[in-house]
Amino acid sequence: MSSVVGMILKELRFRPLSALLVLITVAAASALVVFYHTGSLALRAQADEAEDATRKIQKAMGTNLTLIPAATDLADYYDAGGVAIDTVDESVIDRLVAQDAVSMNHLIPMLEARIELAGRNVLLTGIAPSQHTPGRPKKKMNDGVEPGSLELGSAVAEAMGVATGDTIELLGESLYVALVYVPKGTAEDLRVYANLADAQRMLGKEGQINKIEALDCVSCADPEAEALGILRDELAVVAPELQVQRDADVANARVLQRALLAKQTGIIERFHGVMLPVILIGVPIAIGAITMLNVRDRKNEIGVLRALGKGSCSVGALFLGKALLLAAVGAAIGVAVGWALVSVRGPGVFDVEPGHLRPENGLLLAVLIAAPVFAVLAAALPAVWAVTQHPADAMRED
Amino acid sequence: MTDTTPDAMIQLDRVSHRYDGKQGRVDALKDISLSFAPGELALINGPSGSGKSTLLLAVGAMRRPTSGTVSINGADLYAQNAASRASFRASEIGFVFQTLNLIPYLSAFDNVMLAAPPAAQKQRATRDRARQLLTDLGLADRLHHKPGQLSQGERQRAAIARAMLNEPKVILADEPSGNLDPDNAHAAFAALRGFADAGGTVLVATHSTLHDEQADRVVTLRGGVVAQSKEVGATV
Repeated sequence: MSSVVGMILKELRFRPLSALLVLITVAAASALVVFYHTGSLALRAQADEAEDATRKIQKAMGTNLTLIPAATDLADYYDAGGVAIDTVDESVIDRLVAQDAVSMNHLIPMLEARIELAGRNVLLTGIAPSQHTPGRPKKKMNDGVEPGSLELGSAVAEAMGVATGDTIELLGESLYVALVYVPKGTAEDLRVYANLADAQRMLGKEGQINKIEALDCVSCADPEAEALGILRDELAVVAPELQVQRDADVANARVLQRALLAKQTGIIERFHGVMLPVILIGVPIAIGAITMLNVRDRKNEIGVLRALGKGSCSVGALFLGKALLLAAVGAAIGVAVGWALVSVRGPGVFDVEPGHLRPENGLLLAVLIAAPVFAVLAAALPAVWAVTQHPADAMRED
Repeated sequence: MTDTTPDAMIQLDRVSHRYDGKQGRVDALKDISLSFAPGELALINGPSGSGKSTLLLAVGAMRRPTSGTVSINGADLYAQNAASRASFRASEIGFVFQTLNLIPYLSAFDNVMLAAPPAAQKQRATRDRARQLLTDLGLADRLHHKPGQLSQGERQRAAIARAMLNEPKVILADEPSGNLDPDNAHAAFAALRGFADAGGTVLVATHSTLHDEQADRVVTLRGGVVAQSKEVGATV
C-alpha cells in the first residue's frame, strides 16, 4: 500500500483540477503578498530617503518660520539686515515646545548681531540645537555649535586668513574654528556661527535671544489652512512677546513633498487595509471550500478506508497533508513569481527606484511558513468532517 | 428466532436496530439471533429494506445495534471502544462492497495492500501474498491497472483479494455479484467459497438466488426478521 504521502501524490494526479485550484490560489496570494509587501518596503525606504532629503533641503533652505520679538518694528528689522534690536528671554522656547497647541516644531533659538570682523560687516549668530516637544522625538534640523567653537562663512575665513582647526580672537574670547563653509556666493559667506551661550556672553546678553527659526505644522495637516493667521492666534496665547513671519515658498515645497509621500504611502495603506485582509480571509475560505468539495467527492473512499480499520489520523492526514503539500509548493511558486513581478513590474507600479526593491528574506520565509500553516488551518474543518464520516456510508443501506 | 451455537464464529444474540429517519422510525432488525460457524458461507437474502445491509454492518463492527450483542470468535464487538473495534475490524473482518469498492487512484495491487496494517505494508511476505491473491483470482496481468482500467468483474475480484489479505476470520460481502455478468459472478462466488472452504466464515447479502448452490445456508430476512434459515450445502 502507498504511504499517506504516496496516496496524496496519487490522488493529486487523479484529481488535478482541485489540486490546481489550491495551488493557483496559494501561489497567487503568495505572489501578491511578496509583490506588494516588497513594493511597500521599497516605498517606505524611498519615503524615508525623501524625508531625509527634504529635511536636508529644508535645513539648507532654512526653516519657514521666523519668530522675532513683538516689540521690534519690521522696518527697523529689515533696515538692520534681518536682525532684531530687541530681545526676549530664551525661556520662551520652553513655553513653545511644551505647548501642543502651537503648530510649529524644530525651534532653533538664536541671538544675532552685526559685528565688524577683519574689516567686514559680519552677521554673528549664536545658535542652539533645535528644540522639540517632549515625547515627540524628531531628527534635529540643527545641531547648533559646540561651546568654544565657531563655524565661519568662506568670505570671513578668507578675510581673516584662517582655516578649520585654527583659533581666533572674537569679542575678547579665544575660539576654535570647527568648520569653514564652502563658498556659496551668498550672504552666508559673511556669517559666523557660534554657540548660543557663547554668543550671549560675548554680546553681554545672557539668557536673551532675538530670533527663533522653526517649521510650521499647520500646512502638514491642512495644506489649505491659512497658516499665518493660525500661528499668530496661537502665539498670542502662548508667547505674546513674539511675532511670526512665514516663508511661503519653503512651506509650499514642504506641502508638495508631503503630498507626494502621502500618494506613495496610499498604495501601502491600500495593500495593508484592503488586499491583505482579503488575502488572509479569502484564501483560507477558498482552500477550505475546495477541501470540503474534495471530502465530498471522496466520501466513499473515506468509508472504505474506515471500513478497513484506518483511524482518524490516517484519514485526516490525507486531507491535511494534501493542503500542506499544495500550500508549500504554491507558496514556493508564489514567492518566485512574486519576486519576478517585483523585478519586472515593481519600479513602474510603485514608482520607485529599482535599487529600493530588495528581497526581504524575513518576508519570503514568512510566506513560505505562513501559507502551509494557513492552508492546514483552512483544511482542518473539512478534515474533521472527513474523519467523522461513518464507515457504514461506504456500504449500501437498505 | 434464536440460533445459538457454542463454537460459532459469528454470534448475533437478540439483535435489534432502529433508524430514526425523516419518515419516522424504521425497525431494520427485530430481535434477531443467528450464529455462523467457521467454514460456513451463508447468503443473507431478502428484498430491499429487509435488513440485509444493516445486519452486515452490525456484524462488521460498523453499526452498533440498538439492542442485543454481536460477537465474532467470542469477542463482543460493541463492548470494545471505537479504536479497538476499528483495529479488530482491520485484522479479523474482510469487506466486499457492492460498488465503489476500490480507491480509484490506486492500482489493483495498491488497493489490496491498503488493507494491510502499516507495519506490514513494507514486508515482502505481505506484498507477495497480495500478488498471489490477485494472481489466484485471475488478475496477474492487472496488478498495476487502476480501477478505471479494470472491468466490473476484475474490480470485484480485486476487492475480494483485498478482503482476504489479512487472513481474516470473516468476510462480509454486500451484493458482490451485483452488476456482474454470470461468469464474473461465478468467479467472485468461487473465490468466497474457497475462503470458506479454508475455514473462514462468509456472509453474503444478496437479492439473488442464483448462487444458493454455492452456499451452505440461506437466511431470508423480511421486514427485519428472519423469515427462513435454510441449509442448502453439506458443510453445515
